[in-house]
Amino acid sequence: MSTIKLLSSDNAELAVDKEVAERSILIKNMLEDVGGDMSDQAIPIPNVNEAVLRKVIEWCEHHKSDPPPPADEDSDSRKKSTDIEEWDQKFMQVDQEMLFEIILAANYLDIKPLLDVGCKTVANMIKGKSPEEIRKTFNIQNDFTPEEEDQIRRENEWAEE
Amino acid sequence: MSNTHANPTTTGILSLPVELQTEILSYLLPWLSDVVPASKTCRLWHSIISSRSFCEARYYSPEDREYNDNRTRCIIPYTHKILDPWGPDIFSRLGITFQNGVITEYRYYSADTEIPRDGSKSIESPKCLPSVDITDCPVLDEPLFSPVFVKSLENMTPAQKRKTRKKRAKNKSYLSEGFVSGLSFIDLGYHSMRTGRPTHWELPWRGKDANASITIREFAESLVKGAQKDLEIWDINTKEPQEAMFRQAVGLREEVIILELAVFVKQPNRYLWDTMDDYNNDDWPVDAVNFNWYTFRRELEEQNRRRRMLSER
Repeated sequence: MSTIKLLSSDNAELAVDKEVAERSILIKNMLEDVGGDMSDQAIPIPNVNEAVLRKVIEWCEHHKSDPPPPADEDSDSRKKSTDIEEWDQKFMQVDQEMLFEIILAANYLDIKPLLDVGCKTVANMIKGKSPEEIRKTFNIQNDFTPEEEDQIRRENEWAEE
Repeated sequence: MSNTHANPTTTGILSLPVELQTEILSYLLPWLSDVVPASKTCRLWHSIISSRSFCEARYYSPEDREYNDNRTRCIIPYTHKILDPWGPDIFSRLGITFQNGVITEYRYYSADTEIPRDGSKSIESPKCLPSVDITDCPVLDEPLFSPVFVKSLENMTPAQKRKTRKKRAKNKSYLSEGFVSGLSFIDLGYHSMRTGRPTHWELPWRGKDANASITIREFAESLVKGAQKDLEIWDINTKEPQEAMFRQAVGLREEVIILELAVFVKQPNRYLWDTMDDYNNDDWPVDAVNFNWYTFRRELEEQNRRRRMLSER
């Protein structure tokens, strides 16, 4: 099995199985573009640092034999369950900073299933909380004016922009 | 608070690209009980959740009809998901309390516990599920039909409308212009739906002049008016608050929508029992698959006739 090298934003070189790295559509397309042979040259991943890249590779490693996601990326929110499989749940037990970094990296590297898991994890942190609890969890400032807050409480027109 | 991390506005959740925050928040759909608090968190999230695309996600599209498990169910395209009791958390549904024909409270019920979908277990009472008061929730003031759907018809010439309707009929999206029927059940809790007697009334908007932009709140109010009549006929004390819940939505041919509003009557009187016994053996066509609208209409007329006789007696 061929191995390729990835170069993180902080200049760490990581060797990865090609098959594993190709969970990233970005890398997969890149390899296809250059004809697949990148054995002697590291692929720069300028947006992702070493720690995050290692995490992402760990995920890709575990999920390397997953069936590919359905081709049409529909927005079928009915299927949008927030269930997360056990391994992924453990994998996502990281601090918030790392969690958001993983989401950003998954988005950049175009690893849709990982992005989904990341977003689900965050959504689960929002679920079941009051606005105040959500703010506390994510360190969000309440930037509504008292008038706006009052309006939100009563407002009638979500449907209109 | 110690400043162990960098400024939260640069590394926190709000620093993620808006598309990703939107993606995250979209996982809260259609759990209204989670969407509402999230929208009250900060300006950005409020605007994301209020956005048109987010709003559209709260409606079924014709493609959603493909989603079908082994249970008989039907998704009605272009209708608001809040009325569908078979949402992702299975028993999430809209419930109301009404008194004297006026809705006093809206609640959104949801159960995280796994309840089998085969119908082997039904809800005994709406109050046995965790719920959140959504009486003031702006979601209730959203149109019953998708704004996209309504808009697209509004701005069309008659010829275009015909063409679109034809196209939609071909795509098996049943609905063209807001013809909606309500169906109420008197539910005695421990009895199955079948022991209830479905009744029917037509809502004021239908046909060519249909005002398809009716809101969920207006829709619920219309249904309650119909339910109120039934309760009076069956001599149930409507001065007492009554609980009701939206049950399975039944999508039909012929551009008709039927949504069941189940009214939970706690202490039915003797009269109701007698009345219901009359109908227990009637095989009411509530099955989504075998439903025939015309048969149903005929039976309804018969039922109404009998009911009038009963009420005159």
